[in-house]
Amino acid sequence: MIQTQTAILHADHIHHTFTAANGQPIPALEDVSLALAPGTFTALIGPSGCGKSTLLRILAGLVKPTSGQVQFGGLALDRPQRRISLIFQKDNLMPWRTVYENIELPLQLAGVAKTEKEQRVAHLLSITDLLGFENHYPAELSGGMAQRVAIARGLINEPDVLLMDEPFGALDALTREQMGQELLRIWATTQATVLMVTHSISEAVFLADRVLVMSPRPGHIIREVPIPFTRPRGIELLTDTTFTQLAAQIRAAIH
Amino acid sequence: MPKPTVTVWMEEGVHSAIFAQQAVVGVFKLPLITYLCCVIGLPPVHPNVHSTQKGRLLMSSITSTQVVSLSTQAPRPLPVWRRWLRKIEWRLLLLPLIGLLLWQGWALLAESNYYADFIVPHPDTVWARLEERWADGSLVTHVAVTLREALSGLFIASLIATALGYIIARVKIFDYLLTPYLIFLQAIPVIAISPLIIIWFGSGLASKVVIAAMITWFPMMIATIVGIRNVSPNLREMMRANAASRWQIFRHLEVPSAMPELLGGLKIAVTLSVVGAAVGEFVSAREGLGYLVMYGRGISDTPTVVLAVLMLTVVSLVLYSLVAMLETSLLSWRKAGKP
Ligand SMILES: Nc1ncnc2c1ncn2[C@@H]1O[C@H](COP(=O)(O)OP(=O)(O)OP(=O)(O)O)[C@@H](O)[C@H]1O
Ligand SMILES: [Mg+2]
Repeated sequence: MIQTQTAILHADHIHHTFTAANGQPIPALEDVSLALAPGTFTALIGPSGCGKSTLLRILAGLVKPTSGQVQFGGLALDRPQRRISLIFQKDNLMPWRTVYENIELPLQLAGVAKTEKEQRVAHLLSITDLLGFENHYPAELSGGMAQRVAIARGLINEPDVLLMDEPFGALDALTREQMGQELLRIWATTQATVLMVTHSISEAVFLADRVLVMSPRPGHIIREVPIPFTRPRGIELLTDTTFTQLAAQIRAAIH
Repeated sequence: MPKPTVTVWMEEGVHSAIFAQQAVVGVFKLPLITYLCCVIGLPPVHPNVHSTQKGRLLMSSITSTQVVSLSTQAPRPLPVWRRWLRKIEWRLLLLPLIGLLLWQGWALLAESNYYADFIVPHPDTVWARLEERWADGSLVTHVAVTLREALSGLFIASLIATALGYIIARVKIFDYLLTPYLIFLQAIPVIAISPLIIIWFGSGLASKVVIAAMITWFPMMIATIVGIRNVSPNLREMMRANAASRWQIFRHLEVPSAMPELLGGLKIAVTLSVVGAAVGEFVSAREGLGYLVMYGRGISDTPTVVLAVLMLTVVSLVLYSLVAMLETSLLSWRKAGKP
């Protein structure tokens, strides 16, 4: 377990209960504690409806947990912070803004000067391989391209923490693999701390330093699997025996 | 399994349709008449054809190999003169032609002696009135007065209605408390209440502005409510996650997102504002196009009445076109990604 003191984002005994429209309580999270060490890549995996998205919303400061506390950089987190970036399951792009304007949005909201904005957007356009598409509208992009725009937007203000909710969920297997590798390449150029929700076990093992496994609802973390592989990681890792063993171990923990 | 459909494009007119038919008939086994129906936009006459739109056939019961064999046929390049002909905006040439026909029809009706001049004045008489009133400058004055009343009313109504619509859309309790009374207000027939408005606000500019505002605020408010309620909750959450302030959410999300609905409402309101101003002028006024209608009626000069009505129409049309142009430029993003 990572020491709480060194963690940049730290959730302490989080409980969260929704109230359904008929007044019935729906316990979504039960006693979730986790700590993210700076610069690490953590994957979160668990059955559908176990509360992963809810946990990410709480960690982003969008939702106040029923009980428990989230600390960011040692301070209690009570509302969304610019230093924490959340990339949603859907791309959530504004259809009336071009690719450039969508990526630029967080900087615009933070009031960053024009020249710096231009530099940073240009940089992200190039690392997400979107150069030449800056003046296109989201409706003119493929699903994978739109997702890359969302990732670029999530990275643009160089967040300390990057929370990703199944960012590749809408993609086919092949694009997914490519995007995963691309994400690792982009991540290597930043010092961000990443927590990524995924449904794919092999994706989790391939990308992360450790994998957290959640139980069915009400979700809590039932297993923590450290991933020992060095970086950079290549696609050949997928056939490595240690890799398949780890994947099997995680699969067993889920069921 | 859904039936496979294929779209056959026939953009080049009847001749190419017949030509294409020879190529396609072997694949689809459709009679020539179907293609002709397609070209002139008649309903489909073949069970395999879903619908015909101008130049387009939507067909079912076609296997994928047949589709492949069709799509591999490359379209022939057009000769230069035909490409040039296609560039001409035929619609723009036809539009005034239809207007001219209507004008001539009107003239024929007036000349037929079937109706008295008092009932159907000759268009030339109306034109003469236009020239007179243009020469002495009174036409411009009347148009300007009505325009000013209509636009002032529209402006005030838009401010109030968008503000009201916004809080109704965002705050439930206001929806609950205000909406019944606002609907009550809207249910009052503006035409019936306009004499009262004149009593309250006098027979000058103010009363017409109030009437124009009363007739335009409702579509603006409904447009605002619908527009703001349609803002994607996912985009709202995305803005919040980026620590956007309330003002930033308003400025960068709610306004651009509601823009299509707002402009739709404005299109309705802008034409209604002219109606409002004219209604006010009918009741009591000394200038304006509505006054001109009443004046013409008073002196039994039907050409003046017709002229004033036509001018009201023109003012409405021009205002509507301006909003339509605004829409095209503001909402150009909506054309993106459409085939
Ligand atoms: N706004 C809400 N109101 C009521 N219940 C909710 C709400 N949001 C989520 N829930 C409930 O909380 C539980 C967890 O939801 P959550 O979206 O966090 O799941 P998830 O792990 O992200 O699932 P998935 O993998 O399918 O995205 C679900 O069972 C759902 O019924
Ligand atoms: Mg989810």
